Amino acid sequence: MKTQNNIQDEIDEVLNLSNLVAKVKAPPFFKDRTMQSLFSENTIEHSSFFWFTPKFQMATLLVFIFLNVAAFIQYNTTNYNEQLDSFAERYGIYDTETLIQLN
Amino acid sequence: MKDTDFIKQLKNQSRDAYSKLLDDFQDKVFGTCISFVPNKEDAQDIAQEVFVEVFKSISKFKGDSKLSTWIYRITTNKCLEFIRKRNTKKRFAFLQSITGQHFIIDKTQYFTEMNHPGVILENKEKSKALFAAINDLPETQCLVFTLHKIDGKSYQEIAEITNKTISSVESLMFRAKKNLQKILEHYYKKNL
Repeated sequence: MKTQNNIQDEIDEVLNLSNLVAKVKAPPFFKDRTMQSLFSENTIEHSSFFWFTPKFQMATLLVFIFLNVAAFIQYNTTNYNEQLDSFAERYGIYDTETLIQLN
Repeated sequence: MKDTDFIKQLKNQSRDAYSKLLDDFQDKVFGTCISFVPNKEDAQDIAQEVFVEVFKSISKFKGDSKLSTWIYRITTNKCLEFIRKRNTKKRFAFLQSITGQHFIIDKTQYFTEMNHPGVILENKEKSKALFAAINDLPETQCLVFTLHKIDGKSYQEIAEITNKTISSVESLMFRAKKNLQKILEHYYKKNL
């Protein structure tokens, strides 16, 4: 019984401690350190390309690849041979008339 | 200066506005942090994280509640997050020890050293028991008890911070006290 009372006294004492915890102030230089961390992070976040996120980078890369492939296909299918012939004729490398005569 | 103007300046990331915010709230935020985590260094880190979060999230602040309530909400979330992480580490260490994996236990990593400037030295051991018991409470009870008993907030303020009614805060307080009694009884029966 005595032990039970002792335990209850200890518990009451511990629970009453919550009323004895004094108010505390922030440590010195807390403000300076926090201001520094706030505004140094700020400069990193707002560099000139802060909006160019990986999502945009990937989209840009895909558009670039798509345009290149499209241009390549277009170039191959349409006027590649005609342009090559006219280039050859202009510089006298290749003459279509001679070829016809030989045939 | 009106609250709305002040919030506008915070949203514009004005240095002066943040300087004023820190003047007004650094002691309050630090006080709440150390009420949850009774270690000066840990509390300081959490308080700093709170202001960084305010800085990052102020654009999302709609003004539905008071600025102070919003900041306290961030503070309590950060503290509970810290405690959750610390408890997970403890649990992980315990599981590793029972599964027989060999590793060196660094106790300082799992037990925060009691370093609360508001607790006098002669009460240090008993305060340790109190904080350990609070840590064993379910999260909502721990939150309400700490804010009321350690940080000294009123039921009205706690209701605003936790988005609960005053009567549910009262009921949580009642259950927290009852559970603390049980936890401490168990502790002293084992140790006396």
